[in-house]
Amino acid sequence: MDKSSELVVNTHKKSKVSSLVDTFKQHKMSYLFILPSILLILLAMVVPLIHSFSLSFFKWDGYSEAEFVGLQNYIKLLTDSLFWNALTNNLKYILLFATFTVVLGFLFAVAIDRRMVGWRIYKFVFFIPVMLITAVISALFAQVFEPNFGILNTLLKTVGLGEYTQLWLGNPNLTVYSIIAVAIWQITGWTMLLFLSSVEGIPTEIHDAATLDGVSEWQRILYITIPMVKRMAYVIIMLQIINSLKTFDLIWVMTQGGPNYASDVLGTILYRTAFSQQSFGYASAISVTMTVVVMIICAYYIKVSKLAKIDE
Amino acid sequence: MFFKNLSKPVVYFLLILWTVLVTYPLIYMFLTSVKSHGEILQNPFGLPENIKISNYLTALTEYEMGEALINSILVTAGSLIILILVAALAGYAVAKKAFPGNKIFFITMVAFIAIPIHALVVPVYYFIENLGLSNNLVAVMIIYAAFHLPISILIMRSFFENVPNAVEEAARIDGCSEFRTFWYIALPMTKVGMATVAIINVITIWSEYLFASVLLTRPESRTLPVAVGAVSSGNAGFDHGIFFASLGIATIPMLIIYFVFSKQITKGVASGAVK
Repeated sequence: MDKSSELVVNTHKKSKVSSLVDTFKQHKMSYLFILPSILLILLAMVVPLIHSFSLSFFKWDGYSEAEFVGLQNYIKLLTDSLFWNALTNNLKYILLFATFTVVLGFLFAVAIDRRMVGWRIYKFVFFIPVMLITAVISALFAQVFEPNFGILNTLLKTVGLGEYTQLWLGNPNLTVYSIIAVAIWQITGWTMLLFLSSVEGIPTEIHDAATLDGVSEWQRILYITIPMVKRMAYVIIMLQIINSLKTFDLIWVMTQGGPNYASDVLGTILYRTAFSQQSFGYASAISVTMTVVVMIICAYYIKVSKLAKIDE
Repeated sequence: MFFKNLSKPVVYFLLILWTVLVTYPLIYMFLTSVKSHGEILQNPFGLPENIKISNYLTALTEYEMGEALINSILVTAGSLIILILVAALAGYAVAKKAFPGNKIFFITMVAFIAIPIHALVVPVYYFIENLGLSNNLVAVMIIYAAFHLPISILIMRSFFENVPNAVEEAARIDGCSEFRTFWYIALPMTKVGMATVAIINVITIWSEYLFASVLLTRPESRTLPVAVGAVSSGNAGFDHGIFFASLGIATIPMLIIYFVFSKQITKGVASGAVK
C-alpha cells in the first residue's frame, strides 16, 4: 500500500518535471532569443546592483580587507554636510533646469508649430547642442566663462558693461547657476523637439474651429494646446528631474565640484569618494541613496506615462 | 489685445536670441581652432588671419585625439551593433512568441529603465578590474549595450508587433526555421525600428564620460569625452588653438551626422522618448 502510493507520487513528480522540460523544449528558440538580454542585464546591472547594496554596509578602500560597519555609512551620509550641500545643489538644478527647459521648450515648439518666420532654422539649430559631447560643452564653456580672456567677460567689457564682469565659475555663489545655464543651453532643443511632436499631433481643425469662433491666440494656447500636451509635459518634467539627479560630466569637467565644493552634486561626490578617496563602502551608500531616489521618481513616472499601460 | 500685440515681438526676440546663443559659442570654437595662440590673445573675436589647419593635425597626432576619435567610433559602432542585435532578438520573442514567462521577462526589462546606471559605477569598475579588462574596448561596448538594452527592447517590441503574423506563417509553412524566419523575414521589416534604436542611443553612447573615464584610463584607449576631459583639466599654459582644435575634432563627426540625417534624428528622438 505504502509502496504503491509512493510510486504514484513519484510518477506524478516525474510528469511535472517532464512537462516543464517539454514546455522548455517546445519554446526552446524563444528562450534562446531572450538569453543574450538576460545575460547582459545580469552581468552589467543585477550583479553590480547587489554588489553595490552589500558593499554599502562595509568600510573598504579597495585593497585591504573589507570591514562590516552596519548602517554606519548611511549614518555618516545623513550627518555629512557635504552630502546635504550636494543634495541642495541637485534641488536647485532640478528646479531651474526643469523649469527653464520645459517653459522655453514649449514656447519654441509652439512658435515652430505656428510656422513663425524662420521656423526651419530654429528647429534645426536649437537641437545642435543635444548632439554634442557633454564633456566638450563643459570644456568650451569653461573657456567662455574664463575671467580674464573668456569671451563672456571680454564681451561685457567691449560693450561697456565692464562692471558686470564676474568670476562665473570662481565665485562660489555663482558657480552652480553658471553651470545650470549651460545645462539649459544644451537640453532646451531636446524638450522643444518632444513638445513639438505632441503639439503637431493636435488636429488643425480644432484650432481652425476655435479661430472661427473668435478665440484669441493666447486663449487657444491656454485652453487647447496646454491641455493637449499636459501628459507630454508630465513625462518631460519627470525625465528632466531624473536627468538632473544624474548630472555629472557637465560639472566634473567644468569645475570638479569646486570651488570649495560649491558646485558639488550627488554625482560628483560619488565620483570623488570612490575614485579619489578610495572609500568604496561610503561611495556605495551614496549610490544606493541615488538609486532609491531615482526609482521612486521613476515609479511615479511610469504611473503617469504610457508605460503602465503596456501590459494591456 | 495688449498681450497679442506684445507677444509676437517678444517670441521673435527670444527665438533670435536663442539662435545666437546656440550658434555663437560653436562658431567661436571653430574660428579659434584655426588660429595661432598669439592671435587668440590679440584678436579673440575676429576672423582668423590665416587658417591654421596644423592645429588639427597636432591635436590628432601629438595629443592622442586621433586615437580617441578611432576608439570612440569603434566603441559607439560596436555597442550599437551588439545592442541592436540583442534587443531585436528579445523584442521579437516578446512580440511574437507566446512562451511562458514572456510577460515577466518584459516587465522586468521595463523596470530596469528606472535604474540610474551612474550608481553602478563602483561595482562595475571593480568587476572589470578583477577580470583584467581595464582599457578593453570590447568590455566597454558590452557594458554600454547592456545599459541601453531595456529601452531598446521596448522599442523593438513595438516595431515587431506591427509585422503581420501572416508573413511569418507563410514562411513557416514554406519550411523556414524559426531563426531564419526572424533573420530573413521579420528583421528586414523592422529597419525603421533598428534605426530608431540607433538614433536614440547613439548620442548618449558617443558622449558617455563617467564609465569611460574609469574603465579606459590609458591615453591610447581613451574615448573622445575622456580625452577632452583630460585636455581640458590640463590645458593651463598650453596652446589654445590646439585645445579648441581638439574640441572641434570631438564635435565634427556628430555635426556631420546631424547635417545629413537631421530629419531622421529629430523624428527618432521624438518617437523614442514617448514610448
